[in-house]
Amino acid sequence: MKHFRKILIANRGEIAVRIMRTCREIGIATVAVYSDFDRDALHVRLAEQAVPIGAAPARDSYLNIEKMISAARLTGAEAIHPGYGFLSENAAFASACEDAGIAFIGPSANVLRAMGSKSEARTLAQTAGVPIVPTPAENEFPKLIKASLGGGGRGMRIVRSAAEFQESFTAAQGEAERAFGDGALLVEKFIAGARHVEVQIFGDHHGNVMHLFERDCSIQRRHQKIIEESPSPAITPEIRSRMTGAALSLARKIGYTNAGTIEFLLAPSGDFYFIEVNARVQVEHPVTEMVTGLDLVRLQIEIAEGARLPAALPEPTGHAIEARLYAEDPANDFLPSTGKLHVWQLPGLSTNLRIDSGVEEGSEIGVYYDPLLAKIIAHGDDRESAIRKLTHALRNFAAQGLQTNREFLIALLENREFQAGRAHTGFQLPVSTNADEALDRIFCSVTRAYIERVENARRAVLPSLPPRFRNNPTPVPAMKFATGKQDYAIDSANPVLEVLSFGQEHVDALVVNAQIVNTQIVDSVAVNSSAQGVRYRFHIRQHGADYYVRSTLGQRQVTRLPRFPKKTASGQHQSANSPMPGQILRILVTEGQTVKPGDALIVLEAMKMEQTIKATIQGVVRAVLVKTAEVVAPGQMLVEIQSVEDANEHANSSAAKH
Amino acid sequence: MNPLRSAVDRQSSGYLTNYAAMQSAVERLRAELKRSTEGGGEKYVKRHVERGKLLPRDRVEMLLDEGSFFLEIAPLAGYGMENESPGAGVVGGVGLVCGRECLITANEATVKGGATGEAGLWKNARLADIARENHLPGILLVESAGADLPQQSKIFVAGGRGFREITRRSKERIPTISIVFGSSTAGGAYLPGMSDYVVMVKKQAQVFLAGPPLVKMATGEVSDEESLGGAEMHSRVSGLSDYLAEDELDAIRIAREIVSHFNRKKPDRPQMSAATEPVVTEPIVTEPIVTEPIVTEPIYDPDELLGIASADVRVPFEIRDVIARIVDSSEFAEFKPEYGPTLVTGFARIHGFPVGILGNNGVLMSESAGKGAQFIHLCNQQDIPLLFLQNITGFMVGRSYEEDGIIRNGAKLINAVSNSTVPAITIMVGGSYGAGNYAMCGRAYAPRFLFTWPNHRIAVMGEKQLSGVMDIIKREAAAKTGQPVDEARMAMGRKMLEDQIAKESDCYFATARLWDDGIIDPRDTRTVVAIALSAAYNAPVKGTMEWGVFRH
Repeated sequence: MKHFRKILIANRGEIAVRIMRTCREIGIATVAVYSDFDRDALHVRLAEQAVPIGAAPARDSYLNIEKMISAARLTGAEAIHPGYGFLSENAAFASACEDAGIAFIGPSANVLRAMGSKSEARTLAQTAGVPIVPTPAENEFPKLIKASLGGGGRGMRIVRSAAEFQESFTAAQGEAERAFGDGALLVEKFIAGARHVEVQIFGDHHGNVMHLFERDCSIQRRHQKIIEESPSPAITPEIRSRMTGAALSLARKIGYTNAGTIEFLLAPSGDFYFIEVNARVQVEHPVTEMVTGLDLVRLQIEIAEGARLPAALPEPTGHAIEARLYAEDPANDFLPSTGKLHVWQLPGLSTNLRIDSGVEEGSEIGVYYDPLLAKIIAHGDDRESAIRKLTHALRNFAAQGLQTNREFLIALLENREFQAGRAHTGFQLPVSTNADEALDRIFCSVTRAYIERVENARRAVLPSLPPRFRNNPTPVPAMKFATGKQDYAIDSANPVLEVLSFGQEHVDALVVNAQIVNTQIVDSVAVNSSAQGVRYRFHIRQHGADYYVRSTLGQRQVTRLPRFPKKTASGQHQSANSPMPGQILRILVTEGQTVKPGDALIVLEAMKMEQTIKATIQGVVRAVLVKTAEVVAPGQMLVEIQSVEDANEHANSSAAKH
Repeated sequence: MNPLRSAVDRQSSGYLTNYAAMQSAVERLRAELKRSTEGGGEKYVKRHVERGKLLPRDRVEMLLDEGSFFLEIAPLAGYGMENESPGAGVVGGVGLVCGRECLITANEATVKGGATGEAGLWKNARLADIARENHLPGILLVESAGADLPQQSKIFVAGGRGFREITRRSKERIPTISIVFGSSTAGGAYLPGMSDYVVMVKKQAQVFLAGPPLVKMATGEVSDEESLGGAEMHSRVSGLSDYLAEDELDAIRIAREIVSHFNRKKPDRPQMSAATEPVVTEPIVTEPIVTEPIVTEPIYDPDELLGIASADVRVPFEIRDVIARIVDSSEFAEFKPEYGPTLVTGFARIHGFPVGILGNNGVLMSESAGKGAQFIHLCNQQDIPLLFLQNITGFMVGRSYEEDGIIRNGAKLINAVSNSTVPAITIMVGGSYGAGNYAMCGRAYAPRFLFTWPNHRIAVMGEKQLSGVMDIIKREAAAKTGQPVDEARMAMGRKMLEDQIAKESDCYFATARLWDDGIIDPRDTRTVVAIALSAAYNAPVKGTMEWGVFRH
């Protein structure tokens, strides 16, 4: 048996950090690789050595096999851990490692090749006697269309009638082609009310396979998992035994080595169907670690070193649940958001709470990679206590500077259907877009109090004076703020809080709004209605006009609107701006072209969706400010349109001059 | 330094009586002040707002830094006077604009169209004095119909000084910015005319020597107000306006921008209480410099001032109890405590600023006057500003005191007060009678700022003494000529005189006539003095060693 002394981690973000942690525990040196974008990333600093591998786009760096191999050679790494995503299931990469004499910590190239194609995997599963999702008859609906290659729900579509089939098929094909370079699609029967349950398996190089029970990943958005747990709340011991048995027989059939996950659809009837094999460590692997007490990455490394699997199956204990904190905007169809993590404060850790993350305060979240910020995993004696722990942790988790799904996750965890264990893959929690005005007002009022007091204390002239002293009192002019999508004017009328004290980065205040006090406290503290209010500490971080305010009541980015509005330019212009970070797919107009409201201007691809930017006024395209394939930031101006009236006015005035 | 020992018995009947009286006096003050903020009344305020204009006080609020103090000067000028409204049609005071102390003056456009009457003239003159003495940049928020024409005889001649003062300040490197929000015509046109910077609001400003009717009368020329003196004409053609503002907020923004580019520092900076404090006087605009608070509040509750100050000015009270509630940490280093005890002198700090305090603890005697003069010398030697806490019935009278040279010794104190060159601030915390008013730096002795408490009374002597003196004189005159005394008439005359003097000794009568800079809530004293001290430091703070001849 070999003992690796140095491993290169061909990945980034939280998984790179997580793999390094295990390496450190074993005593293995680590090599990080990084793109230009990740120059200052956490995983680079935590590694003993780091090798730059190219430009930010993944194809130039994290997907470049040649650069990975040469980085391993340069540093003398004996093995490569691919993490998940990127090159982790790439058979060519596994072969290249083998050719270079570097151990690939994962299944063999052959297994990767076979499992990489969903249709091939289905055939193999069938021969192993594992049930697969039936292919529907031509006139049987609904159908599910998905890409044969790849994963992550890309190109996946539910078709409910024959009429929409062709259109969906073409669209899915296009998306699959763009994402995976192959437009091959699978058409399956759509199983309503199904859950997503997967079995963690391991195989060693001595012909042994084992399973580490199941994970339930039914809670998804945009066909991607966001909450995973083990054990599944919907599985009986009998189903578990059948399902793990099926998983093992498939693993044996394909001679599986190292870590893998076999995914199933569990129908309400108790029947389950094979979906695919994920031939790598999963994002959600900590859930299994929490219930089994095993370190799956350590197991991966040891298997690659030639060790045998443990003889006995570990006894799972309690319940573990994971939530994925993403930089994304639930109110905007969960599209990824970009920006800087101005505030990143983890809740206090404990033995039954784990947080895996590759970011830190000040990290920049770009458009290039998966916007996963952190995985928060809680363990409890039972499902209810694990959920309670996770919810509490999320409430005390501060991630500010960009949009996150934190509050959406909390809402999910507090949803009755979910808590009852009844939420299946079709479960969609409606995203609350209604502003909580009463709560917003509290956050804006806190910001106002902070601005007045702290800025007063920072003055060179009489910093110790009480703020806003007047010997002839006059009403305080309103201060204007924006939070969420709403503006608020905060004056001294109807105060919602009483400031008790303040510091450089906090305000302690008594919240006197009874409605808030009564509805927002989840802890079972009885609110005495005769009490004056409840004291909260509001943490505040300022960046320019933005104030990141948080307390256990919630988190808000409160933007101070300027006191003096800028001059409004005359003439009507439209600037079509990018609603989200993404890449320009097609430009549909040229300069000088006349457009009317509703005309398509630009097609943008943002991670997984095509988005058409349309004109809102009638006018002339004055400038196209982007190029095809250009990566654009949210709010970036794409096209400038001058209104017809304005254009005429200009024409007249220039005519008058001649 | 040890804090003063100043425990008051909050349950004593004297305290409770004083407290109740002062509390109701403060409530009345609040009510009177509130009236002063209501402009020309609902109708005119509504009309002004409906024209899309900001009210004068809102203009001031927008001009000030958020969270900044605003020490309003003479908010009750003109109070109770014929043809005047409380505030005299002007809002004026000291506040921070882009981190810099400025003297802001705004016409109250809802009162007689912002026209200036006699009290307004006094108030403007007082505001101009404050700007000059303390080197404060002036910002004029102009919207005025000009002179209150029926009162022209009281204001025309003296009114010219205001324009002279603007340019004389300019020469002293004290700039003035005029923002013209509305009418500024005839003589008023010289407000922007004399200013260093002029901002005019588009479609609102009207600045001309003569309006269209007068022009037509004078030359026959037909014109309209906009072309004759609109903001655009003055910005593009005449050059009277330096900045053309889109609207009122834009104009205020421009004025703030102008101030942010001023490049004058405070010339002197005192040794603040902690030697570690960095010397920072630049205006704080974008990246503020964080200084740890070094100032400790008094250890005694300022609220107790209400129970300490006597409701009846004839009842003396311990001035150290007042000092203990306005100085940092209640620490007071008393000078000559054993000598001349009716005048308390000593050193303290207020919001870090060093200050030499002179407070009355009874009638002025020869010893106390001499001690006061010596103390003023010491403060001048060390460039320490003075704070007078005035509660004085006057100098001691009587044969032995005259023989002892009470006039000669009192003159020493008046000599010192008159020739002292460090800034002085006077707070009248009770009575202000006779030559005591002079010796304790009354208005005529030009303190930088002078505020009073609502219990304050001021006159050459108390109304009873004054009417009594007159009674004696009349009786003596009658006796000389052998006229019989009509007791009923005598009593009536004495009563009428007493009532008149009582009325004229009232603090509202005084403040209406600019005898002071305003009546304040006693609990605000510390804050008001701190603002006054900080403002004073915009001009050099240099004591003198030169005095008039002392009559030793």
